[in-house]
Amino acid sequence: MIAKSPRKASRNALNDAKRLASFPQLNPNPVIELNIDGDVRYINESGKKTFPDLVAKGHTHPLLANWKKLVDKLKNEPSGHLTREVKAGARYYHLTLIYDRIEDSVRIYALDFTERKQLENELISAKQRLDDQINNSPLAIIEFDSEFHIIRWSDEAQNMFGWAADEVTGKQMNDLPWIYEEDLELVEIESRNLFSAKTPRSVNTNRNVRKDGSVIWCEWYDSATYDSNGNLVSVLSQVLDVTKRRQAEEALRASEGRVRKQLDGLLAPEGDIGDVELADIVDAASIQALVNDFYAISGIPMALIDLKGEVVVGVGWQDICTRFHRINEETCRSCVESDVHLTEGIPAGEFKLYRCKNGMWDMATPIIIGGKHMGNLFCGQFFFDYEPVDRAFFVEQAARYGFPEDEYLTALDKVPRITRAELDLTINFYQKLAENISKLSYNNIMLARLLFQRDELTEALKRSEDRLNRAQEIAKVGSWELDLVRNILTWSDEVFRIFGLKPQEFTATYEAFLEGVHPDDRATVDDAYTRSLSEGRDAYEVQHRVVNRATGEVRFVEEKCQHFRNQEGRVVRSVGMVQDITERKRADDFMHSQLRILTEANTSVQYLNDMLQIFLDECESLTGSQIGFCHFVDEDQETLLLQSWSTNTLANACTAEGRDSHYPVADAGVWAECVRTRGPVIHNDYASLANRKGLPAGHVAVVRELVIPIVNNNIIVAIFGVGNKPTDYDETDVEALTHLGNLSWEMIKRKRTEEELRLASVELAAANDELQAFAYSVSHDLRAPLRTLDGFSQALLEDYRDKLDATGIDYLNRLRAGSQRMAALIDELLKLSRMTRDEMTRRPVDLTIIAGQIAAGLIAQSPERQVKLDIEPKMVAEGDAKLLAVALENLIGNAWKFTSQTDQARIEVGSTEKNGKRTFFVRDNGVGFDMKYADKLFGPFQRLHKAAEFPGNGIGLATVQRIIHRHGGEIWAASAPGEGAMFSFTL
Amino acid sequence: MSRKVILLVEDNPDDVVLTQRAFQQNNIMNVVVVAQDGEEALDYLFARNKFAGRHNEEDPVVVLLDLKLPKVDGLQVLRELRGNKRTKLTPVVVLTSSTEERDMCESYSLGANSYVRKPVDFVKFSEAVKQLELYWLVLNEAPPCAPQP
Repeated sequence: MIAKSPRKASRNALNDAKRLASFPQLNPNPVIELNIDGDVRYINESGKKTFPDLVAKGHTHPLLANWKKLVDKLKNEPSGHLTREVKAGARYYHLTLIYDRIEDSVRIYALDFTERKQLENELISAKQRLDDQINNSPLAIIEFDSEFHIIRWSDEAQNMFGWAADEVTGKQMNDLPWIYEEDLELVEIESRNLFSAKTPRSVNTNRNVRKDGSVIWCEWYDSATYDSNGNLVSVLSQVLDVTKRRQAEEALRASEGRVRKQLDGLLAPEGDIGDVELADIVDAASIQALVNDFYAISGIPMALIDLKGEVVVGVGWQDICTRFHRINEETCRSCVESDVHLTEGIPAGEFKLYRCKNGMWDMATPIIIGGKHMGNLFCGQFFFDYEPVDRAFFVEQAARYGFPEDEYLTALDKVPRITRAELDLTINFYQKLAENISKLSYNNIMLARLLFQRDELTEALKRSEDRLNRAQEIAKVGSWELDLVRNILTWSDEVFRIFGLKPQEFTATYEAFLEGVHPDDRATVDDAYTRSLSEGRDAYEVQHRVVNRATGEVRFVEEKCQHFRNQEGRVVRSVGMVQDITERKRADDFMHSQLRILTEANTSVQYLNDMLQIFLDECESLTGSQIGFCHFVDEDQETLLLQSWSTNTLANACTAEGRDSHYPVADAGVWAECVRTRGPVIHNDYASLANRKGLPAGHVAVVRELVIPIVNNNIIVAIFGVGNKPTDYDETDVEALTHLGNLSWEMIKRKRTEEELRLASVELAAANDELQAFAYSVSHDLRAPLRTLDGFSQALLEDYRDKLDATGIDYLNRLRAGSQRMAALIDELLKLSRMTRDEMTRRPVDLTIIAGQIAAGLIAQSPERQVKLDIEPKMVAEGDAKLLAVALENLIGNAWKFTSQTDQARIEVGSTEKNGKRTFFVRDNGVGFDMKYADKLFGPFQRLHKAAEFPGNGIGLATVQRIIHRHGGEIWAASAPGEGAMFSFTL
Repeated sequence: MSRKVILLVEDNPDDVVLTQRAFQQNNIMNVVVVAQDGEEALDYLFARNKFAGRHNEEDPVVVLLDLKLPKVDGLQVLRELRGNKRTKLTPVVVLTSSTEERDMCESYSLGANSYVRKPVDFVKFSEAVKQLELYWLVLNEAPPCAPQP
């Protein structure tokens, strides 16, 4: 065993002390001491390096801006220190300023937190921009949490549904009366599918009810995010109001249906003739002429009378009727009654012989037109030649109604007398007449009506077509009809427009239609039509592209077709609608691209470059391009850094090397022009560009390109480009690429920020570990040399006392006292560092109980002391019980200590409340202190009393302050010499 | 008192001298074997390597163990010692500078019988050693199941 010499041990101790003294010098952060005028008195190595001109500039250095004011403030600060954040040059510093009252100097500890600050700023602005983007989206954006509570509700959502964000946020989806009742089930199924990850992305159309009760049609684009266990995290929905589109479609269908029904009604063999009068439909004049002639031959009177008793045609009216019976009110009533009621119920083609109520014979046959009884044809009045006339009855009638008897009876004698044979002949004639009247009249009616309705229908059809055309133009819906019987294809104006033709320019044919369809889609479209016929389906839908004949532009259309069959089930007519869905599809694609980018950024753990590649794929496909690329631009705005390409470009277009290489913008191709112009650049005719550079070997030929700069804080940070779209790039592409590019950039930035924050926290944890290891080693190693000092001094005192004089003994005692004091300091320092290191748990803490236990302990230690203790009951605070106990132990312990020379010592622990903030205090009536030293109170190793008066090491209040600060509170003191002290703190 | 062995595991020669001095002052006449690192301590305890063939009577009645040691640290020594049939009941007093809570907790959980902090003040240290002697050498009964030498 080899023992080291004691001498070597003390040399180690000296080295340790030196090492300790070098701490500020070796501190990687600037430490500076200045006098009150801002002249530097001490600056460590790091300080010199960071602020090389600080010594020369003194208080005019930006680090010490407003020095005078700052010093004044610092001097008045009870805690003796201040922290502030300053910007010096391009960097941010967190300064801790400590005022040393005795030296009248200021000590500054500076910490560079520029990276942190920038990260914070960037994160805030990235979030802001994302929100802006969401709020400016033409689609309503709504986000639900895993239980379908609404957690995001964009401005557009408010416009669309009527509720404001604060009305709906936090509400469960089903608690809002916004789902149309008939669609509830559909929405329910949809949510279930999202929840179970059956369809993580879906598009759905259903009706929603707005806050004002109106119903709208909405297209829902839902995208769900799941955690690694497959549990739903959230659902992001983008909603498009498609009510207008639906209405145009409905209007089209309704309009079609109405016209069809009228035409059908018109062409049907039987139809209602309506409320026409008999007089309106029979040719009264020609019938009158006919019956006049018949009367001349037969002498038998006749009349055509409608059901109201109006005489339409009449001949051979008898004087007895016209001069007598129809004149007197009462007998006339009998005439009409006979005409109308006695003739009821006679079937068409038959007749009824009857005696009228005025005593004469009549014969009637009905006129039935279009199945409706409209009047009667009468023969009469007459008497049969074989019957005797009851003259007495007529004499009586004359007397009753005041007819002059002679004249009345003369009229009676004029009434024709006919034989039965004559009657049969007449009946035969009139029956035929009645039949002819009926038929002719009906045909008249139908013809008239047909003509009238045709005009009306033509007019209505024209109006309907006009409306339809206008509606179609607005909704970009065209319609066509193929009459398979007559083989006629009709196109509405909008169909012509969709195909890039002038409305009704030529006669439409199926071949002309197919010619307008994009070559790649022709087979599909033809197949869809022929298959629907062969498979006997009534309807089919197909989406395809159309090449505009005028501009060559490719547009997307959706076709919906319906077949109409005859009774044998053969298709006789096909009606179709063509809708230009280019904008809708573009919006859909755009939104889906955005969604994919957002989802990718939110869920993937991919590397930046892989993420970028996916973003570029989106940019490429949205603009219909074949190349997609991106370069990061250095802060100097002159160097292009990382390069990235879309999957497609990497696979097919570009085998050139160059990833990760840096090179100046000046050396780049024309695509880098946008860095110089700071705006989008389109080259639709790349080959003819004069200033283009040759493409590297293996690079596919560029035909067209579009490049945009991504600008962040006025600095171009990246450029995004796409190329080789089959047609020219236009403003729509610029808009799409700008949008996606910026969104991608936000995501990249967010990813980077997250990554950097993560690294920063890892670094912080490492620093903490290091500190802990340091404290541990101090605890072990720093004490050993002290023990050596003390131990061997004691050994000397014991073994060599007789060889030492009083001074020698005194020196050894001082050595021992010194090493013991240092050991105590080390212990306290470790304790202090533990206060900062230990984890803190906040919960309600009963300060009354803790204070009581501390007081009990103190009384037990010095039972001889008479101290009046006053502890407020039920003081509960929020904090860490262990730490608060240490703080109170120090404060109450101090009060106990500093009242040791006071008669009638009193210690009070209590609380006050001011502006809703609870302040706790420990007050004593001990020796107190001079307030001018107040700022030194809380500094470590600061003591206001001589050790001989009151023992202590000056760590207690520093510990208390650290505990209070860790709770986010403040501590301050008030005192005067001899008048006690009061320490107050908040938590 | 029989001159039984106390094993002092301590790498700091100053502390060795001071500890021996404290023994002397307290009239502890046991043989003090000093091991300067953990490996040496284990060699002695398990009578191996350079201590192979030492007598069973030289098994220590108490081990005074520092924690911060070269090669094998004190906690590891404690772990191995408790894991060995021969030494698992030997009283171990952890004698160290550290007041770190985790050192103390771990020592006890590994089966240390006492945890004594070496004070800087030699007088106090000497008192602590005296307490140790009282308890572990005088008052403490050897466990009945202690392996017979």
